[in-house]
Amino acid sequence: MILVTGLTKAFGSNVALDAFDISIQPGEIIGVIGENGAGKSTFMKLLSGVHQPSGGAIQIEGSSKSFATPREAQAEGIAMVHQELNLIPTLNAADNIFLGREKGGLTVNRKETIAEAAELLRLVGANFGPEALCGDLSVAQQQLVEIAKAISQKPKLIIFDEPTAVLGEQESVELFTLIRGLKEQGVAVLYVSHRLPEILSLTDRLVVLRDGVKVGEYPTAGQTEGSLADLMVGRPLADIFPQRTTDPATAPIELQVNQLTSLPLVQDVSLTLHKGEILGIAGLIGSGRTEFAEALVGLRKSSVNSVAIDGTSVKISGLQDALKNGIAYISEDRKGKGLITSMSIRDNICLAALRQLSNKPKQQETTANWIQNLSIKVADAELPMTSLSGGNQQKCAIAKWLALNPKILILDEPTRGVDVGAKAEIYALIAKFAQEGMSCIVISSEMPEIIGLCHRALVFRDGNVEGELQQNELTEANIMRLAAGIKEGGKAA
Amino acid sequence: MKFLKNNQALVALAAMYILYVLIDVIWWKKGVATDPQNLRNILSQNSYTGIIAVGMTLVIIGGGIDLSVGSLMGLLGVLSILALNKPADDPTKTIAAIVVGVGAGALIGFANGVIITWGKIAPFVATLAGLVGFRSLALALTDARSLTSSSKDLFPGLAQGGIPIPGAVDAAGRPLLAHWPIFIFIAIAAVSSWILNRSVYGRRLIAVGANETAAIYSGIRSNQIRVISYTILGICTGIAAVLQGSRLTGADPASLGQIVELDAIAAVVIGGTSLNGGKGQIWSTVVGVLILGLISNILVISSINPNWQGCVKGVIILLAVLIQRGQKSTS
Amino acid sequence: MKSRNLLKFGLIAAAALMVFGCGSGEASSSASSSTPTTAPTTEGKKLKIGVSIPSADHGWTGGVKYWAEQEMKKHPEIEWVYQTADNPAKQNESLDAMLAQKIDGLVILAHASEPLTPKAKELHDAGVFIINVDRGFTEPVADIFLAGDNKAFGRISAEFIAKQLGGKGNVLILEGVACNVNTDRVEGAKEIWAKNPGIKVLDSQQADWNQQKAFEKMQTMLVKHKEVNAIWAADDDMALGAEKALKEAGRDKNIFILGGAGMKDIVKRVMDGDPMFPGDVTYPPSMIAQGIELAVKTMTGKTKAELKAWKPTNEVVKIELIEKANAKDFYFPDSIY
Repeated sequence: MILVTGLTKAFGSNVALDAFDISIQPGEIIGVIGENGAGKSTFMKLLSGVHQPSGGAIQIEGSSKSFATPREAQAEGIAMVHQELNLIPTLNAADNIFLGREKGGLTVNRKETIAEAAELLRLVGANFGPEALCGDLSVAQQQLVEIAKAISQKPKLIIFDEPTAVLGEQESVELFTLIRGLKEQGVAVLYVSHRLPEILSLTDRLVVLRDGVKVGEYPTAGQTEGSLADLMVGRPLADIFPQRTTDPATAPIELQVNQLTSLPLVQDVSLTLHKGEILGIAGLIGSGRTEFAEALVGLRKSSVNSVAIDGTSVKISGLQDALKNGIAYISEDRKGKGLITSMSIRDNICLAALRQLSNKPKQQETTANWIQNLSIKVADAELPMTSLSGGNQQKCAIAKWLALNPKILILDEPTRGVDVGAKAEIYALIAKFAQEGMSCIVISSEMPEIIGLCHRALVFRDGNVEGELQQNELTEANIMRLAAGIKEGGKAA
Repeated sequence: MKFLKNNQALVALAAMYILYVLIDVIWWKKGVATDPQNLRNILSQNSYTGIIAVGMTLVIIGGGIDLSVGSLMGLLGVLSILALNKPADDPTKTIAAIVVGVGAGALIGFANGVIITWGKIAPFVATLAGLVGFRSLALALTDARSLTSSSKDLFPGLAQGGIPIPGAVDAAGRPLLAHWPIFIFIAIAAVSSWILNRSVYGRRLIAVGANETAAIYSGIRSNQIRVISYTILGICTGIAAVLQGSRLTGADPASLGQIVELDAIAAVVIGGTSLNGGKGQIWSTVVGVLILGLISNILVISSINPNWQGCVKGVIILLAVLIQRGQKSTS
Repeated sequence: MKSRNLLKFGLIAAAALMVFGCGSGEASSSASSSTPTTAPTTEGKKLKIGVSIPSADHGWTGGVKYWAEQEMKKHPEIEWVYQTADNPAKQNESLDAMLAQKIDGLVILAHASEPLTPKAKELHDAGVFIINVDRGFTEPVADIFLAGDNKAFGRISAEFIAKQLGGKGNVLILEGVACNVNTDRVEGAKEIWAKNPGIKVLDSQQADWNQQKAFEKMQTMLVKHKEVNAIWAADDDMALGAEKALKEAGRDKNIFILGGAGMKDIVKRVMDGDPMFPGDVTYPPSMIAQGIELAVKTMTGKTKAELKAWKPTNEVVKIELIEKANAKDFYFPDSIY
């Protein structure tokens, strides 16, 4: 149906995709995997008309096509669900779904728009109506609008770019059902994800990219997470999680939080954190994990019974207080809150500690140190942050706070949008920090991360700590049970 | 209650007017706050800025801004009076004045849009160039002289004529006129409101202003959308310039339209439209225009020392915006 | 990306400079690109005289610009350095530029007195012969001061109103932009009315020398004040705006307006006996031409040393009342103001 031959894209001297070939048949689900910077995004953007190729051809039903804009790709039946949400917060779901392809001529036909949108939203399993303002929807709900928008184009091919990155487990399951339904209707699906289990369970075959070159095409059957990781990285990856050698349960208590409340999302959360411990915080999207962390470091208004660090009671009413007391928080929203991507790597790393790093030589020295310590792959520290891959950006975000020598490091989704190789490096770093006596809190939606990395985990549900799991109790089943609020007997609460 | 929460600007306007009436009744005892002539004056005086503010609302919702409208108004006023003063019979002259004023407005607005979108120059900078350039052009075309309209009848009637307000007469016993510009302002606001809320173009304008990348990914030609918004503003500016020329029976290249851009942007913002784009309403700008007009009127009527009026005006503007914010946070 | 934006900004700035540069440059070249007659100084080169005036932002300053350019054209034997300025800060900058161009003399009509005095002193100390027109400096730095008398402007027009009203009546005031010129005029007028208890000032509003603003402020004042016998406006532009408001409100009977500065349209109507404009006072923008002429006369043929030894002189531009009888002496149909 769709035949891509020799597709090439160069940005200046940098070849992002080199002579890529693929043939896509109706009703196929094809996984696309590769480390960040492997050329997956470039491939998808060429296919969906966001970028224009430097060479090669795209043929649809035997005739050659070229897309100058996403509009032209859409007209040929190629729809894309972008990873960055591309919705207009000030318009409602229905208007967003039909944006650019509005019903009616000069005037918008509201009745028809609302009716068709309602049907599409039902199809994707949305629990909200077509007139809900997108700005009021949760990230997961917005993702559903994106998907409805793609389906509304009645495409021959839908490209999903990391669709589950912002979805909870339940929503992901519904999405997979939907994708299998599309397959039955003869729609082809390109599925791009870092989450190897999803690739394994969902796709028929898969394409592996590395450094802009296609490594190969493989049937999904017979592959394992390990084999996929090996294919992506190009070397065997024995275990991406480091050994947990220390037992911090007996170490002194570093942080004690007693009944922290920040309405409406966090209520009466208490925790203790030992020196050198990695404490996981698991839970579904919207369970108040991020909000708890933000409240703890003074980024959100909150009330708290007491916060004690090293046994001394402290009052944290703003981020400055948190930093003074040695608590650093690395946001889940790397591009939005963590880094200033237009500024240079040096400026970003030195941003939080500017007072100590008043002159350029000092900054350069510090930057060079962190680049070496965290093995950040940087051509030149004066280049903008955007020149780095996701994994290296994340390391810079971590370096920025380490420059302040924190005692307690809170990492919110530390490996979101980061490839397998970089993930392993970040895990190793976190383990190293803990070994050196730093106390870490890791907030994560990826259960393997909680299970493989943490000494202990709290599971949040509806703004509360639903339960605590010791290292030997850390299993996907236990975490899910607590996260979904299912009692021992198996019934939902 | 929900209505009030969604209409903060209206609440601010109503509060201000009620205060005005109270002060008048209790303190001044002049009846000015309810005098039909005074109310008519407020509408009439502010309809010119209002017409521009409506166009500005569309531009700002589309994620842009236009600082050049004040100078452009001066230039268009000059061009339209120059066209008017060509020897011809009166109806032809008047039509020429309108066509030239509004037509040049559309062209220059279009050019502004093209420079901003395809020229990839930030709206603030591109229109700043217009702000200084258009005024200079107006002065150069006239050698800094004021122009006087040669039409005695039809052209002055555009802004000086109107519909008699039933039951109201002026000091000479003539019926009090609600001037045409008031109705033109209302009509332009109504049409623009329809464009924004009901038309396909309006959806796309909001989308471009809120998230241009997303709009482009949705197959919208964002440059085209933005250029149209600047063109509409240019047309609005042309209409305001021609009407002001009619009202003042001429155009002064130095002062016509001076700082109108600030008044128009202020009206948009006071009405509650976000300068970030993607969000706003036309009618709230109309309310913003009326708030500004009412403030000026109150200041003149109250006989506050002219040197202090700016301070008072600034404080009232902040209060009006705060009233809105308060309403918003309780919603 | 960043550097590209900077580049763009630079291009715009350059373009803007070109526009303005042309605007003022054209005027100066038209004045200076005259026939190279022999230098009139004893030192063997052309006299270089700077002319610095506010830019034309309303009728009167438009007149100043007109008269200055006319007068400079009459003296091709002088090398003119001519600049207009939007505000005192710009005028300061243009004085710096003139100093750098080594002018021998300077004719200046200052935007405002205080902010320009130090710069004028600097030029004076550098040996520039200064002819100051209209607004005086706060220190005696001018070699010749041709003073406009704004207090007299206010007094004469206020007296005329008092006389016209028979010592009894209600007056509305339209003021210009808040500055010394305006303050002097308004104070002069109020001094007179203070001596005439029958004259009551009902209200006073700023209309920034601007016809449209005068129109709108007057509309509003008329609603508030039902009994008004006369309007005093601080200049003729605003007087015209006030007239429009009176007509529009149907209040144009039994009332008159007194502006000032001798705009030709108003003088014509005084001459024709229009009851709305029974009189006017002069404050001729042509005083700048007088200043320029004084500069040429005084400086031509004198050595630097002679000019340095010059004893400062003061002259006052006479403010005169224009009435129907003498109006034709003040009517210049070819003037732009």
